[in-house]
Amino acid sequence: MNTNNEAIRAENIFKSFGELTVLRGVSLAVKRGEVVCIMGPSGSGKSTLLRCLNWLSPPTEGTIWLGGEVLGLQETSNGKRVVLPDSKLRRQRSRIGMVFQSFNLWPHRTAIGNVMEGPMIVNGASKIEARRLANEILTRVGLADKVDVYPAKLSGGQQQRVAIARALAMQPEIILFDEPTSALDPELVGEVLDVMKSLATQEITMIVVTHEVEFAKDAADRILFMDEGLIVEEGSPLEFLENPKEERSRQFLERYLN
Amino acid sequence: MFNTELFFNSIPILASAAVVTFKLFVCCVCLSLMFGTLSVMLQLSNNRCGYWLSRTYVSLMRGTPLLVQLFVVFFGLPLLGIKGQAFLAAALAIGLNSGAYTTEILRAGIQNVPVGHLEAATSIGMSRLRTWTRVVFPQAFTVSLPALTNEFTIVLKSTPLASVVAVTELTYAGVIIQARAFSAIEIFLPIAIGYIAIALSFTQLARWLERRLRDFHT
Amino acid sequence: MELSIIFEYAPMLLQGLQLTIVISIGGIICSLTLGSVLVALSRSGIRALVILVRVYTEIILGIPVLVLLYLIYFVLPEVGIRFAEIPTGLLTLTLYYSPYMAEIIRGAINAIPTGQIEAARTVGMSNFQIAKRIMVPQALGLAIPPLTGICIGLVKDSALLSIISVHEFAYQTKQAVARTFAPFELWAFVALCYWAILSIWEVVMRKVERRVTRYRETG
Repeated sequence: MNTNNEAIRAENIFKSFGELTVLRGVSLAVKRGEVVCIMGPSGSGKSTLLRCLNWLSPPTEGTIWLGGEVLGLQETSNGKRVVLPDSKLRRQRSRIGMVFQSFNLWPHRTAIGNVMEGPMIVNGASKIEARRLANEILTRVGLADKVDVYPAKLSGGQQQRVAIARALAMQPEIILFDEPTSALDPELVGEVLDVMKSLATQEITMIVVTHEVEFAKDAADRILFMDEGLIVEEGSPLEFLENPKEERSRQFLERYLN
Repeated sequence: MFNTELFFNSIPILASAAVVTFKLFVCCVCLSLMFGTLSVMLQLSNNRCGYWLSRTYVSLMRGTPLLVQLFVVFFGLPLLGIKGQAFLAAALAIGLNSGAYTTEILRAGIQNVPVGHLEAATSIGMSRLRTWTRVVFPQAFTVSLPALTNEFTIVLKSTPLASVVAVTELTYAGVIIQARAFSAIEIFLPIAIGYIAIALSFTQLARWLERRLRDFHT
Repeated sequence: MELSIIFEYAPMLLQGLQLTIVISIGGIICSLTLGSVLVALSRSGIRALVILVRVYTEIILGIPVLVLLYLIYFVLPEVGIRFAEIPTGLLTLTLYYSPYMAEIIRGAINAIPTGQIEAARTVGMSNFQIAKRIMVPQALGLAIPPLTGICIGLVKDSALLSIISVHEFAYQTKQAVARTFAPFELWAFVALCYWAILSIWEVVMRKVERRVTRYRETG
């Protein structure tokens, strides 16, 4: 159960919203440094799964381990499972980064303000330390000249790169990407994918929900294909994209690549 | 603690005072619509002078307390030769005040009428006046009805101000009775409930009117 | 028309204006506070509290402010609760305007996209930190336009406190009128004073709003 090599592991995740069951028993394990892409038709539960993995929307059933520690829950003295107290949960959350489809930058903070917020407020860094760290990361994503600019004045691609920098600033064990380029104009997609590819080469553990097949081919170690709340197939990019085993995978790829 | 005898004895006085409130309310609403319509037409006309007159009127009414406006009118009327008319002063002051808000409501309603409707009317040869009365105003009015209902509910809640110039509406009757009887709870609680009841019935009436007009339009 | 009277009585009127300003500011702060409480209660999820807030709001919105004033001034003493004039006035304004403030606060909070709050949760911020650093700064800018209108209404209604002998601007005017028998000139002058002050307030608030929401300007 506790492979120290694993960044995150999920077992038998079910998630229902009232009558509607979105996830029907999903299990996965991601090793440290691995880049996993999740693909699938809309409604298959990809985003829901991601949001379970950082406890934003806790699963109805199932267990998640973050590097060996149970996520979101703790065992009481008589063996029952209860929700973690807020302070511990927040600490766990800060170890998982997330990049959203709609960026979700805080508009009243500059680019560097957005990146500094987490280290300062959650990790207790001083303003100077936080600023230095944020500067460094923003330079890494190619936005050194935009540090004091407000999000309203940035393009979509720039905003998303700030969002990635914001996630990196917390030095997380794993970063989740929820369709990071789906809301971008086509010509801005490239700059974001380039940043993500460079992260992939830096041994940062990533789970990416995406439709960008090229990115999956170049950067992913594994692709998971989801449909109707289950992982239908998984394999290396080459295997999955050239030679899908399941019929559903084949249909999906045909629709997408043609 | 609650002197029911006092309450029951006061009912006739309160009832006739309520009628005065109602009369006052109706006068204020009519005056408000009158001033509001006049003002909005001035604003939307191509006359620069009219535009600024209307804007100043609206700003002035919204920027001064109703109480002060009431005193200005009450003490100003005698200067024009009209003496001793407290009811008129109150109705005029509240009507003028509300007219400013009505102006803005009607303006929004009018500007909401699609330009296409106006163009259609003029293209079949309708005169300007006819276009206004038959095409623009009916639609503007229907659209404005919810906001106007809101405004006139506020007018109803402004009528107690007339008590400061001794108009025997509901609140003033309450003040007089409590001054004589040295007891207030039997009077003001029913009065408060009375206003809530009147406001509710008015809102219901307005909603019924809204529904009728909506069916009439589609 | 005797205009010199205005100069003669200006100091006396000014004193009243001072009190008007103090009471208005007090009323704004108190009604904002009570409004926040109302919002917090109605979001608590406890049914009894939510209903309580609704009943309170419906009653307050249904009665005229003058009647509320009389209820507090005349009726409450009969059940043993007696306040002096100024607290009575302040209480009336607070109770009357709190539902409007609550509405404004609610609107401002709801206008903040949930995505921003999710991002804050993801980074590990606590609810308090999210409220303080993400929601309130933005809500402030969103709330200023409607807030300005409500504050103006509150200042105007402060004039009603003259009826229960609070020595504010309108009351002082009444006193001056009683002494000079030049009611029209004095009231017209006082009207213009209110107008000037409230118009300036509106302009200032618009400037403040623009400054506070400068981050929203697109390139």
